[in-house]
Amino acid sequence: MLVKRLLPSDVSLRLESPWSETALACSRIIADGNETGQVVTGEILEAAIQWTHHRLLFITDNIPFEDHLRIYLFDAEWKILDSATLGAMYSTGVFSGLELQPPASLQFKFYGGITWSLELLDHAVASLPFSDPTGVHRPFSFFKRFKIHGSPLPNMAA
Amino acid sequence: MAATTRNDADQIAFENAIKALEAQLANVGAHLTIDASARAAYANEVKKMADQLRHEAATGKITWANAARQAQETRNLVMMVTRTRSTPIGRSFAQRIKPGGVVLNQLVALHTQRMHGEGALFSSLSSAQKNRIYSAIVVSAGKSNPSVTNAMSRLSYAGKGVLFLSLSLSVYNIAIAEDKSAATAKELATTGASIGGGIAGGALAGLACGPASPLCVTLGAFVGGAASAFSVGFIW
Repeated sequence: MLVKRLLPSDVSLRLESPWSETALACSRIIADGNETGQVVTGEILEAAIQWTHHRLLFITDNIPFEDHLRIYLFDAEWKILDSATLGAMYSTGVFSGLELQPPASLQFKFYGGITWSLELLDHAVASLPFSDPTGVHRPFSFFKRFKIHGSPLPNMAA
Repeated sequence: MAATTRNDADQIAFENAIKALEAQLANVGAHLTIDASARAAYANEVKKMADQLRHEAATGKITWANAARQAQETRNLVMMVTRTRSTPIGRSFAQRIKPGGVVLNQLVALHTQRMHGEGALFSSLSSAQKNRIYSAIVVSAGKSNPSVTNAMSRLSYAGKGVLFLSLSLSVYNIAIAEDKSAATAKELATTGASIGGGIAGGALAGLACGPASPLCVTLGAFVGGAASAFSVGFIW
């Protein structure tokens, strides 16, 4: 099955706890109008993608001057299979330019002045921790369910 | 006789190397503390700025449109000032990636979509709706990322701990010295040289490798700090 963009009526977020000076906002995931039981960090659902029985969500923190993009891959039961974050101190990004590239890839823009590409993997592949491109952060793990490609440009203006 | 002289020289060189390593603790601690303080000041400043503008707009001193424009401009200014108050290492981490760049029109479009749905046009909104969007921009300008602030706060504790360790070693060295005033002066000079050399080394490495090269700048700061402390210890 190919990657397919989901509508806000398919998947949405309900704010669970708002942003504070000490904690990021957290949101509950609602699918087809029903609670999934899954709460994730982030506030704005930028895009939701269906791929086989998996869902891939792009969520930002709603901190426009220092935003982070959070990417979550879920299985059919809304269990997190893999996740990654793009973001940096004193920097920000705007999610845009989402382009699906069937069967299992997509492209998007956020920061770094480039188009990032994301490749979904059929199964977990072995991967060294900290092997992602600059500006991409992941929980410590030796496996990945998606890969992110991109070489962000430095901020020479600052 | 010659062997004894060489042994003495070796011992002095060894002691200087150990002293330089000790002084590096102060260098590391100072870097961590300066960058963490800059981050805390940044989070405070942007919040204060947004609160002030919100108050001025709410009391009719300025329009909400002006408040939003000032919030966007001031926020970028605060960010630039904070970077200049950071160490070369902190600055190089901040410059590692080109930001997405947020201009006022983009923020207006973003908030219009989020509050009124995709396809909504700002120009077709009522004055009250437009003011709500400007107000949301002012509020968002006061938000900083708490995950970054919390991480920097933890680094601040680590930095203070390392500085305390460095201070303790200096106190110990002075306590066991025969000439305490000379030892105090030497400790002050070595530690000061390490911190100053670290900052200068990081800045020079930034010039050589480019500012957005955190690894190179960190190495430069380490080498600069060690070389300065070693040199002072050797000359003393």
